[in-house]
Amino acid sequence: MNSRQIEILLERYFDGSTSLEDEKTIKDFFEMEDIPPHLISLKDTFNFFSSEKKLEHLDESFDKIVIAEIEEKEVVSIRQNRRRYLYYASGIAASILIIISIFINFNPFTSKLANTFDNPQTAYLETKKALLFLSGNLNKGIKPIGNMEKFDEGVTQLRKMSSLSKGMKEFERISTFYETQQKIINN
Amino acid sequence: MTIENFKSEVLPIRNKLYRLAVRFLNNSAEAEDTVQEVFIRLWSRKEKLAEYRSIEAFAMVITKNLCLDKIKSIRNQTIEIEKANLQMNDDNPHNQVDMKDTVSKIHQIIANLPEQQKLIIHLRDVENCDFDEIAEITQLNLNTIRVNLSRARKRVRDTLLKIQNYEFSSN
Repeated sequence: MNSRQIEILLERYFDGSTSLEDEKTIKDFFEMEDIPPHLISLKDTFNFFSSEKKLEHLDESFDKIVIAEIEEKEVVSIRQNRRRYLYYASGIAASILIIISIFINFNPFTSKLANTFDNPQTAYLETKKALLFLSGNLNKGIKPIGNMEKFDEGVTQLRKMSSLSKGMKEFERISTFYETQQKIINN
Repeated sequence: MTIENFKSEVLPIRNKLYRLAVRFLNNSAEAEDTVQEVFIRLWSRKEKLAEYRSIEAFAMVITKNLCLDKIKSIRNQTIEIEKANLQMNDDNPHNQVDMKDTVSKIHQIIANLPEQQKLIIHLRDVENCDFDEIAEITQLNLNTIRVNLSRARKRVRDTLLKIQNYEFSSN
């Protein structure tokens, strides 16, 4: 490759329009010993790029560090997953229990409420009978409440107890009498 | 994907990812940490990994994003310190030591490129990726990639020439 061809390639290189093969040609050219003087200032730059690519700083010991860290993470995540499954399982079990209990309790209830009459007339009579029975029993229950009046009477009797407390105050005077009596004896 | 598959198919790209991370972060320890994190993230998506057209391109995208996040957080942390040291930084002796040999100079010039140009010139001129791959990693269209690549290459050439001419005239 003569320097004229390289100059054309370089011009395209600085325009950003060379292919990877062209760039390989340029780099190989600058690896050589005898570079025309007007191009020598570019030699360092192209050699720099070539040597940078060969930079291999990280080796197997780096891999080991990464693998160790990854394995540690795996153990932790397996443990977390197990716990998560336990939560899911208990949640599912609880909801199944709720659903079962709903079915057990409500099925007989709905069957009791089912309509067993064909004729609306008989249904009406039956309902009336049931309601009368209910109100009769209710009245029976209310009667004894009349006895509450006697309780009121008892309460008014209790008010008289306040006069008892008046009498108690009178008694306090006796205690002062007792104190003075003690003083006289001591003297 | 089993750990064995991961070892044989995914881990071998470690140095490619590392080179990209160093390009962005300029720090080998930080870059190593980042690559490690990339692999952990890849493993956490092991079920979906087979669906990607190129695991390598996907890994490069994760690396790029992690690096840019780190750069952003470092910038936020150091912005106050930099303000305080602004005047001292102008003639920082370390910068001059770094610029001694040509390799360090080129490193420095690429490090000072805008992030997008830096990424594209790295993918093309160091890793020899084809344009489809670059498009997948950068999410840019072909024309934008060519324009950025051209700018980055010219910038490296012109800056290096400027430095060399300056040194030549001052010697």
